Amino acid sequence: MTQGTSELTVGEMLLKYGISRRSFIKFCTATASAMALPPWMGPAMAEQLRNSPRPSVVYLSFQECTGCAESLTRSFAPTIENLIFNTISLDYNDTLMAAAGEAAESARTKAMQDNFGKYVLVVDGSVPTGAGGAYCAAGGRSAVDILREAAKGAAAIVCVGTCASFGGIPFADPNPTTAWPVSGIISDKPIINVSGCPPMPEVITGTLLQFISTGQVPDLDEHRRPKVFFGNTIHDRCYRRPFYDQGKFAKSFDDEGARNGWCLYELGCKGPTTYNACATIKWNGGTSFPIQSGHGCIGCSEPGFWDKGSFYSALSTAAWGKAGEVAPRQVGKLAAGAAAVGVALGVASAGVSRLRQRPSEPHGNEPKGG
Amino acid sequence: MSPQDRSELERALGEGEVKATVRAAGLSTVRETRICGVWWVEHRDEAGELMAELLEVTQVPSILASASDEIAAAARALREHMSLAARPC
Repeated sequence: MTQGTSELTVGEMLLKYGISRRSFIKFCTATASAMALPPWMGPAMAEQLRNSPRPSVVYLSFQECTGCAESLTRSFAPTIENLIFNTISLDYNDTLMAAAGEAAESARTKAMQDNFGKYVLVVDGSVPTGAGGAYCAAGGRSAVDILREAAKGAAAIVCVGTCASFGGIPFADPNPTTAWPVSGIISDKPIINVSGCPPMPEVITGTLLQFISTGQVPDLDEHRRPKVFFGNTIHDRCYRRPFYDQGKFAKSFDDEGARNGWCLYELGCKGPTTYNACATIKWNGGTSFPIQSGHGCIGCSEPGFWDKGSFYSALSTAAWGKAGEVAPRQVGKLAAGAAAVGVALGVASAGVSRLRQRPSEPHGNEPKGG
Repeated sequence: MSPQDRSELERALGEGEVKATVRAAGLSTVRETRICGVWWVEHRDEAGELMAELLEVTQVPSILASASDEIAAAARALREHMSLAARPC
């Protein structure tokens, strides 16, 4: 944790930890390259950041499994991906910080006061609103209260993971805690969704770096995900795509087709309707991704992925739509759009109910406007 | 880019006169191609995995050049070191 160092510039902080300017240029270049930015952008970002004060980041964890933080902190090349921790002033993260109890809570309050209007709020996990918010509380306060307070002074909110972005697993049927994504609670701040269960470390780092070096919210898709990472489906970029086009499909996990590396569509692959960068950036330092290791995509970066039928049934058009069709995404847009313009949350909740297509929605516990 | 396209591009650009390596959070190599001012830059992490590969069109790729603020700091440090060394025991 970095209390007392938030006044240092990024360059001074790197020097303090013996990280050379060239290492930092390399980090920014690799990030810019993953985002398909022009080659000169990496060094330009590095120079700009080196002379700037480190932006304050408050990282709140609600209903989550810490998989997203694991993805970020235990990525394959820790010296590179972890440079993000020297680039930002991480003023509150209850998993990583040394402080606990009152000291931890006061660090958050102080960071939010000192950097009001400027800090980046990262949220990991969905926000339970049932039972007066009692399902998730820290320091005697509910997650929903903490989120509303922290959102007030945030320059932007970055939702890390599918739970914070779309509700994720806690939101899945029967949603026993009446969990909501951040966009269901906060309607007056820019929200950037970095979905995935977990999201790719390069996508988390790239999104944060892009925002703090430019101060601009990147181009987002209709689910508020950065288009540079979520602009294509897994299927669009899948190396098995030629087999799909030729009609060559594995019919079971151990048949000849599977051994030949044919398309996993009939084994339930959700690649055609899933927008993410797994097929291009790949996991574990570019080693592989689920389809390359022989398992279909489960669609973990899409809203409601847990409730859209079996991972092992071929894509159901009722739940997911066909590749290229926009029906399910439009329903999602209704929910997100309603929250964005601050329409009464009753409307947003109706949109989400339709998206989830089930008869019994918990009523009477909808969150009030943020 | 397919492997064929890639080797075609490598053949077309060829090898120039300059090759440098940078050891910073893993190895980076910088090669000028036969086309003057076109540099082939590879950044690898400490495990040797390729993180980024770029063609830079510039006089000198920025990863090689020293920064003026670092040169100033180094000059101060050097003067201090020399004056300490010159002091009689």
